[in-house]
Amino acid sequence: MERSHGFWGEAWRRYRRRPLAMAALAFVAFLVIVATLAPAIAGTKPVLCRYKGRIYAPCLGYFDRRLEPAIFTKDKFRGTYPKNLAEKDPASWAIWPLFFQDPYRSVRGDEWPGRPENPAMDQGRPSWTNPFGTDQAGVDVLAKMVHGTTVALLVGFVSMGIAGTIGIIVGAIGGYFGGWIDMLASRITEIVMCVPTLVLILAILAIIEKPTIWHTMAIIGMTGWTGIARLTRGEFLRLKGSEYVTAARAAGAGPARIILRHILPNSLAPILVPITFGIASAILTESGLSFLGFGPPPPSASWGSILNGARSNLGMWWLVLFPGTAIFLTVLAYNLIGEGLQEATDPRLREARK
Amino acid sequence: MTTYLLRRLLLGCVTLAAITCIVYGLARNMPGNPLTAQMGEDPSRKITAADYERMQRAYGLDKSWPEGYLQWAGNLLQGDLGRSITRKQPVTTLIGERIGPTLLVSGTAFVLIWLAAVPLGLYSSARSGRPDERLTSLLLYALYSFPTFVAALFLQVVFAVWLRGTAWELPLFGMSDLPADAATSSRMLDIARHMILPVTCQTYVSLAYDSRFIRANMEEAIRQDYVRTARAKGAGPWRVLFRHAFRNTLIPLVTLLGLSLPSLIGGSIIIEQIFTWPGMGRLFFESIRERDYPTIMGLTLMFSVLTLLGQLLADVLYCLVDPRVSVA
Amino acid sequence: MPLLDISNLVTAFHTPAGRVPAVDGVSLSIDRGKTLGLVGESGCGKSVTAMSILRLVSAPGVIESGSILLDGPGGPVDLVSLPEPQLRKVRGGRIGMIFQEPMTSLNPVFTVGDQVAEAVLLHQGCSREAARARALEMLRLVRLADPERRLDEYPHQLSGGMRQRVMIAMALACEPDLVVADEPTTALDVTIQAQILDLLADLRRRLGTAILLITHDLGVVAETCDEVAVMYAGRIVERAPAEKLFRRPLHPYTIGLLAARPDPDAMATRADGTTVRPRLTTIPGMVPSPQHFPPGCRFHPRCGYAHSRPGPDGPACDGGVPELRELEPGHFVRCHYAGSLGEPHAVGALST
Repeated sequence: MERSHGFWGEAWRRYRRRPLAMAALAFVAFLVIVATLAPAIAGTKPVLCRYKGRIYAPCLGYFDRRLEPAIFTKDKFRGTYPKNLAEKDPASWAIWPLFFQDPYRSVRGDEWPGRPENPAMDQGRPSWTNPFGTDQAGVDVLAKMVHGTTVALLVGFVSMGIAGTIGIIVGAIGGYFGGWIDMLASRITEIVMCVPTLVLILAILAIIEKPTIWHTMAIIGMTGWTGIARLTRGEFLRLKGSEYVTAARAAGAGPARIILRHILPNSLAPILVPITFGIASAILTESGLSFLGFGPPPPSASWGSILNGARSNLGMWWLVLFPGTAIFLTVLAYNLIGEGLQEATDPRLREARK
Repeated sequence: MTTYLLRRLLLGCVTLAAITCIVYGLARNMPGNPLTAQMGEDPSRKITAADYERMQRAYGLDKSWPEGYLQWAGNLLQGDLGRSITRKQPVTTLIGERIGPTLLVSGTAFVLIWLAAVPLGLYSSARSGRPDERLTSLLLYALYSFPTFVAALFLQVVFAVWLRGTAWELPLFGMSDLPADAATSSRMLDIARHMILPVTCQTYVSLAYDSRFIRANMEEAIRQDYVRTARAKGAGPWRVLFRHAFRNTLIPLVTLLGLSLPSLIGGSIIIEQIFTWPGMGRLFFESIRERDYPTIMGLTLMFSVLTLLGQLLADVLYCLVDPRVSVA
Repeated sequence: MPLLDISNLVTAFHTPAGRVPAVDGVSLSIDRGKTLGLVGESGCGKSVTAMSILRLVSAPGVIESGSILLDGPGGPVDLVSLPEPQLRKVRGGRIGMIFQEPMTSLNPVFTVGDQVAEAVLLHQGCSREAARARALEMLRLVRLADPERRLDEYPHQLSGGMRQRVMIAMALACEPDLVVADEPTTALDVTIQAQILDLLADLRRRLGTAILLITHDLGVVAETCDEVAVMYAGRIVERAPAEKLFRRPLHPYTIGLLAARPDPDAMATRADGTTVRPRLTTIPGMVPSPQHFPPGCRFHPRCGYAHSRPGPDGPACDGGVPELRELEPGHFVRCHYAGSLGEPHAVGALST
């Protein structure tokens, strides 16, 4: 008798058999690597450098300004590292990112020895120095896209984390308790669903004086949970009558234990599917918002904001091609993963595998 | 059936009240108001403080937002949707102006989608697994994942910039370049040319989704025992597909139809914005920017009513199409 | 010439885990107007055999070899190689089929009358009214109460027994020569079961239809069948006229099956003179999984008569595959030692 691998083990084995789904997973893994290592891939700040006897990692400033070592501000580097390092401490050395371009500003002439200034506007077509070209302000597109990966993935995971949590809680409570609690939960779900999402997001963003990317993520999460809630509610309604639930109640388990320990693990598989699709949708929404001009203020590095630049400069096709392809591939990858997950965990589809 | 409908209507009113209240609160709490928004756009229009106060009172902007909401709701119950502050027209007129263009694009898209999605879905399920179907499936999947605004930009670059001056060129923006008094036929032609890009963008996503939906449901239906019975009776593959499997697929399909009602009439904000198409979505966007509260509320009301109606329609259609289900 | 002659049918499923031969060289024949019962435990391949007749085996199952000859006015045709359009004429026209699950075997969105009439319309080019009239006639034939009303009702409005009657009506609508009934009563209550069996027997008498009855219930077989075939692990292990089989089974598996029937009158006497009901006998072990069929005779690990070494009477039971031999006229057995089994010994001597 072969050992059974458990539900998730079986699902993983079934998932593995689909080449497209595996490719999608590999792509997302690649994106995660790029996002984590973004400052080491593209930037004008050294990954590691030795300055005045100590070792620093200025590139972390790309993740958060506060992580940039204070000494460089004190010594008036003003973000320009190559010349300043050499001038102010001849004994310094630095390990530079793979690609010397900055996602937030144009690279000035001779900043990197021998490199000309970044072209701007129509001159910024793809070239050896700027493989993906530059945008209207001369900022390198490849660097923007590398750092935009961090934004994109964060948006996906954070928003869907929030949406998933809210949706599961609302759906589970409504589905399990029924009665007027269910009616209330359904009404709340209906209300959030009926308001046009974009309007809701725009309104909330306008109310918050200085929206950051975190606000956007939170809002997308707080408006995108309705589908998950409905699905969860449906699952709970269905599973509430299962015999193992009745058995648990006969053994004296309370509602919280039954919900968390018995029903939720059994309903997780179908709920994960819209969550996965939701990640794609969240990335799309954030890109859309940036594209319309409501994203984090410039010079942000969101893929959508690059596209925004293309709206008024349709001749700069590279501003459409590269971020557009990136968004497309990412959304495609998440959709493929979601579908692969669905087929791997749906028991009904199991028998029909050819 | 009547009691069910009444109950749904009643619940719908409760939901509507909640929605409109929330949206009104949000809108009023956004920084600025219609007057400041106008001044922001056109700094030469300076208003004295006294005038400002007068206008505020005239538009009811000096009241707190709960009061303002009650006033709006009260007017609504008397059938008055109010006047747009920035455009100085009744909201109903504004909506009336904009609904035509929206319906033009979304209606055409709707017809195109269903004309193409049903045969595509049936074809996909009939030839499931064969190489030509797998290719189609892959293409549809890619289409489904392709973001609309990227496609819109892309189409604009191709058709309005690269193909400029050729016979294939398509206009970039707006609904029509001709003046209003131009000949009807040439106007219609011009509008049609302007429509091509927005309609394409609105069609392809739903087309991909709907045909995949049909295919998935057909595959589920084909696996059922009653299909085996039909084949045992001697039914041929087409009869099994159309009469037995598709008829059962119709059930989830009509719910999908019902749920697509709101976007049909509401239009797509993004597409209308990109192509500067003078429709409802664009109006929504502009009214938010202008802080034009009456218009915002009118549109919200309409959209919410449509969403609730769409759900009701979906549920009712479901009962009609599935003999096992009675209204519950 | 029998009506249906299956020889050496092999139907296998090509799964990711390997090739599973659910039907591994099955030969059967049914004469006109007779009833053949095909018995066996779950998973022995009897349903797949039934589906193979009309080529309704679901993917990834494939009929790999063998022939299924259906006798007819123009001579016998091989259903395995018959082109699809002609096979469709056979389906429902010359061979009708009844399935196990009446709950799901009827299309929920069409009325009962529609579905029975469809069976008629598919084979006879008559008008819709004529088909509907025939449907009504069939519903009466299967003794469905209030048939006029039922014509316009939907399957979900009928009970399980009623739905099965509708299935029978559909299968018989075109007066086929053969009806294949795949466990028609398994999903029904015992009382309804009896009614359905009665109905089938009655219809057989009146219409002269041959029946292939597939079941795991020996009691059903004893009541209704002329001939019985016993199936184990994808092969026929014994085939005989019903009376002969039940009176004197020759294959160890059949012997075990029949011995496993509880006997309400059995009484055993203990050593101290008190009487006690004897324990129920069972066949030890389990049905082998298709991925791991035992070599040689597939029943030998559970057989109390198995020989572990070749001897003067026959080979070792885990060696060669026994042939289906005709030991007595009309009585076929697939066992090296059938007819001369001797005393049973403890099972487990040759367990895999």
